[in-house]
Amino acid sequence: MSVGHSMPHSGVYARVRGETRFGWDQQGYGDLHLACVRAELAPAHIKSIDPAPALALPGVVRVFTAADVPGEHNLGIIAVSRDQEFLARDTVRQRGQAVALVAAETRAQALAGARAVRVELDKLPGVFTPAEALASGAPLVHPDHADGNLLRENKIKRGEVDAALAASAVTVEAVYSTSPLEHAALEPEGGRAWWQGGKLVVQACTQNPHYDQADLARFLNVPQEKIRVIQAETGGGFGGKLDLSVQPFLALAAWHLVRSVCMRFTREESFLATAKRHPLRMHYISGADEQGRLTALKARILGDTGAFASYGLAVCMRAAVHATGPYHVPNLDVACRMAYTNNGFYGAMRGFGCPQVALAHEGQMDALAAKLGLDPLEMRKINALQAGMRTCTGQKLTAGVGLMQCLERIEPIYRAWREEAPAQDGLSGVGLGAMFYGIGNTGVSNPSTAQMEWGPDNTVTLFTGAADIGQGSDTVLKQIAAGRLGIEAEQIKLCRGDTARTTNAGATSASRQTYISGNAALAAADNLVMNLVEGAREMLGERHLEIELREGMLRASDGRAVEPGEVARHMADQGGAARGEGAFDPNFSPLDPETGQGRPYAAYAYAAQCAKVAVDPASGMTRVKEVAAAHDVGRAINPRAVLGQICGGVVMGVGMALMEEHRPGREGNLQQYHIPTAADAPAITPLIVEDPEPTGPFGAKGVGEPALIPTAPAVAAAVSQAVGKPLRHLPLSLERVMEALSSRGESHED
Amino acid sequence: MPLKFTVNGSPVSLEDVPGEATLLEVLRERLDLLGVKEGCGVGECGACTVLLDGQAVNSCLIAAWQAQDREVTTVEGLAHGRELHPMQQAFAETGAVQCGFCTPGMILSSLDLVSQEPDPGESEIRRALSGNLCRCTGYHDIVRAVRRGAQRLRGEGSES
Amino acid sequence: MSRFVSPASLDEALEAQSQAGAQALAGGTDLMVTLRKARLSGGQMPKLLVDLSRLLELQRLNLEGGAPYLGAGLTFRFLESNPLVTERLPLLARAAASVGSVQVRSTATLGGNVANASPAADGLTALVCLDAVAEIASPRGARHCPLAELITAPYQTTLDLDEIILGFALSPPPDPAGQAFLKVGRRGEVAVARLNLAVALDRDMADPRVVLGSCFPTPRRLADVEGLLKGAAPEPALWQKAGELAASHFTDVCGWRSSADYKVPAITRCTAQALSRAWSGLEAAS
Repeated sequence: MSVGHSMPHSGVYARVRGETRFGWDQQGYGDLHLACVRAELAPAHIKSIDPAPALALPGVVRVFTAADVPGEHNLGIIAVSRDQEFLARDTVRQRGQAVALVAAETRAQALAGARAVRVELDKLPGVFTPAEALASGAPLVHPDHADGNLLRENKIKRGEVDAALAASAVTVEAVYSTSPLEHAALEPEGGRAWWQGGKLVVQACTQNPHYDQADLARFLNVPQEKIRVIQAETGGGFGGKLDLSVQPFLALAAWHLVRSVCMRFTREESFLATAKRHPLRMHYISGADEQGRLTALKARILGDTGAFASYGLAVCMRAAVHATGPYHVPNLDVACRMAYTNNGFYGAMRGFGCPQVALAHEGQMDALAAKLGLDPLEMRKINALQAGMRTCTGQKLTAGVGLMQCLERIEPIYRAWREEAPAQDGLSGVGLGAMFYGIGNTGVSNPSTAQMEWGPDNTVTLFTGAADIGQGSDTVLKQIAAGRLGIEAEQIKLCRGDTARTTNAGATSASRQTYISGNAALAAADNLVMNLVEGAREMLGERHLEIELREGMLRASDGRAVEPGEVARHMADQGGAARGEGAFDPNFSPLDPETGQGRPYAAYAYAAQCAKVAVDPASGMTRVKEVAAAHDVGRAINPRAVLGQICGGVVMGVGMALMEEHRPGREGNLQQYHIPTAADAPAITPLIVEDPEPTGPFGAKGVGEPALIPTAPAVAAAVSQAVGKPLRHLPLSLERVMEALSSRGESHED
Repeated sequence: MPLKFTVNGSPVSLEDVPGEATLLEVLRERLDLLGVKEGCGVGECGACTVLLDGQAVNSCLIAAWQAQDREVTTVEGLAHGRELHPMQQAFAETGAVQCGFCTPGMILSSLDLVSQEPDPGESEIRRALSGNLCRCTGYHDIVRAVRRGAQRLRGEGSES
Repeated sequence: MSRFVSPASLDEALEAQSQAGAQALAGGTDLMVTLRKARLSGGQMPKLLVDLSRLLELQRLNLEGGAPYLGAGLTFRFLESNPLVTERLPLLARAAASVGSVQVRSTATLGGNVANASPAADGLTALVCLDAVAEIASPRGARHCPLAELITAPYQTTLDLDEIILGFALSPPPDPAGQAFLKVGRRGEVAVARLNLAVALDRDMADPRVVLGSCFPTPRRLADVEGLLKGAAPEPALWQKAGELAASHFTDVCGWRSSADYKVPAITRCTAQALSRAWSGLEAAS
């Protein structure tokens, strides 16, 4: 089976047997255990750290502090904003930041040691909201940062917004906001480090092994070759395992102690110390003409990026670039700002700012439609991006724009739900959400590389640095390579996510692996075929023979056929190997810093969803009963995997809409932070739309993040309809829904 | 006194198990049954679900000594050699597994359900699995897998 | 490090429980969370954990005679599915079904729920509605204590360290009664109650019961609401009035704190809804 078949995920049989060893399961005989000493208040000046009481405890081997870091203290994925100290030097910037690390013989001893280290902190004045942070005279989170507490402002400018708004038939002004969210991947962070063959090996859950290797080398001040990172099987990520977590601690301890070490975060520690989704406040003014065509958008977006930049720059830029939603808007003035605060840092989470702005752009569409007396779906069709149109960054879309098809696919379902009799179990509502999403990183080079090898024994191996964190890139990349080679995907062995054996594929983020690493795998397969053909010509002694790889054989135009394995043996005998190299970097151009104009992505995914809800008027309890979700994925390499991504994204979107809210600085576990259970998840009708992307492998693009983005706006619209009042702040908690129920019929503006 | 119980059909006897030790710790750390996962430690996520005398329990909320003289089943005890349990087979075939961290607990909760109700409906399945969180699949294919697994266990073939 | 004993008889359990530093473990679903927290923060461990789950004395169930009784060791999983409980005490069965997850209900017990005394305990709200009196054993003999006296504040009871709850004598309203249990949480399943309600109405409205949980330090019967209902003509306007009275009782007791913005309308409407459901259940049964 190859392209277009729903082959089961690679590794699924080990998973159902419980044999898969995740990062959290990594522990070897005789390993030392690590535990962090975390600051209980922030911001604070570190007055002293006294390890003596810990060292006096049984089993405690060593206590590390920032003074033990041989290299760079400031780490981070985006080179221009590296500012995260994994062991704080002088200043603690967020609660839960580590100030010391304890190594001990058992986990209990390490935890006891961490409690015993005496840390004296002097509390400093801090800032805890973006507004506080940007006020003049505010205490600075990073005094060295050039723009005070402003991490970055991204602007998008086109046309004449004020004039266009003034000339619009209708305008709508509203403020929307979202809350900090936790990824809550089922596996908390964990891993192991040891020495092998003169290298320090770190095996941990991660979404980006090659980045980990580079930053760990900087941290330890050693050449990258000295560090080998192996991606452990990873129990979900959703962006939460893009930043380093346990890796710097593992590397530091193993480096100094020359012993194998393991570390795992408790769930509480995972809540406290890893990234969260940026909360955004979005002030939108939108205009439309009498026919419902959008005329202008003025948007001011302000986000909290917390104590460290992490992916803040990427989220800021992506929120700005996607602020219009998937619609043609001729006049634009968008400014998105991210402020440092002393809250726990915010980073990448499925969608990088797009799920947040989708609440606003979709809310505005509904509000404009209501003012114009237009049907919300009609309003979207009138404005939907289509081939030949330009996006808000001025990029002309040429092909693979499947939004209209997505809207048409959900239309009959939407119409049927709207016409259903009112539900017996409460107030009912139906809402819509649509989105577009740029595949890959924004306005920067983000290449992937891959290799393939045909072995003398006819085993075919694909080498990729792409981390599979459960989404299925292992399977999809095999299917793409197999599709090109004309063999069964099951025939391909995979070597993945090991910096000693694979090359950089970039992060498993931005829904980029199918499109970018898929293209790299495709190129590697092509290159392999070319080399096999060369090898066959040489073996057959005819330099100009036409040869092609077909049905597993190299077939020459003179009727001869040889097994590729035989050619590989021949090449091995000559001291070579039947290998292919591939690379792919999407075609982009950087964005103009003043106007945001440019070509940030080579390809976009599109989607439309509708949701049906029931609200209990007595309690405000809301249930999302059904969601229909149509996604233009270009081409579904593995339809079952695509459907799985869609359904997973929808339910994460339901959580974002109804119940998820992380309170910075508060104790966190899954008791306090609720994610949807099977009983909260709606019945889902996932619909695949295939409008081929000309630059995608077999026409494919990505789906991982798009799956989530339209859901929360669709649910919010449905609940708004049920309660008779627009709801613009997430989550739609019991309190917010009750408040809306109680004030029904009052002014529709807030 | 040693702690004695049966795990996946084999008797075990363990010395020096502290009273406060959880069944989860003992299964993972003393018996190396790493298919039992820990996702939260407080009984919210269900990743550590095992069957205790056939009933699904959170092994992080059970003191190991509560298992004295009882039967514990973990995911490792389901397959017969190479042959998967029908519920494992159904999960593998139906797209019910993405990252797989919730999978062992999810399968064991499903088995508890079908032992009570051999032909569960969609809402019964959803309610029965509401103590097993999954962040990847949206539960859609898990529900399908449980129906398929239940059907096979009833001996009704595999089409669904 | 704790020792662990599984007494085979009540006498053995009482003896174990009277040792210094003993801690009873019923199902363990609350206690193990507390112990984990203590272990992570370096807190004290009990010297001795006394497992009550194997005591037959705590497993009694009598709903057929004149003196209904539930053993403290019955699990919520048993209570939600036992035909006698679902038939005779539907509000308790509903409350039991709404506790935690299947995994929690497999081990968590009625007695443990009461001894833990969470203000949001679903089992507790149901028991208060059934006018439960706890039967408590100690080396000094047995005593009987109404729940309102047993639980004094959130997570606080008058149980002595050496006492064990054996079970609960119930005084349900006269048959036939319409019953309802209603729970509001932040999600549909496996949620702590933001609000829970147990109500029971008999045909003559002679002994109406209305209990509100997760709103006060402990679940409580609303005497003024019950007074309003007593002997009154059952009709939607009455349910609405009862709801309003329940909400004003809440603000009288708790003051207008921030949670009242939600709770006042929710109590008003949910009380009315629960009463209406209980009454229509009664009508449907006849």
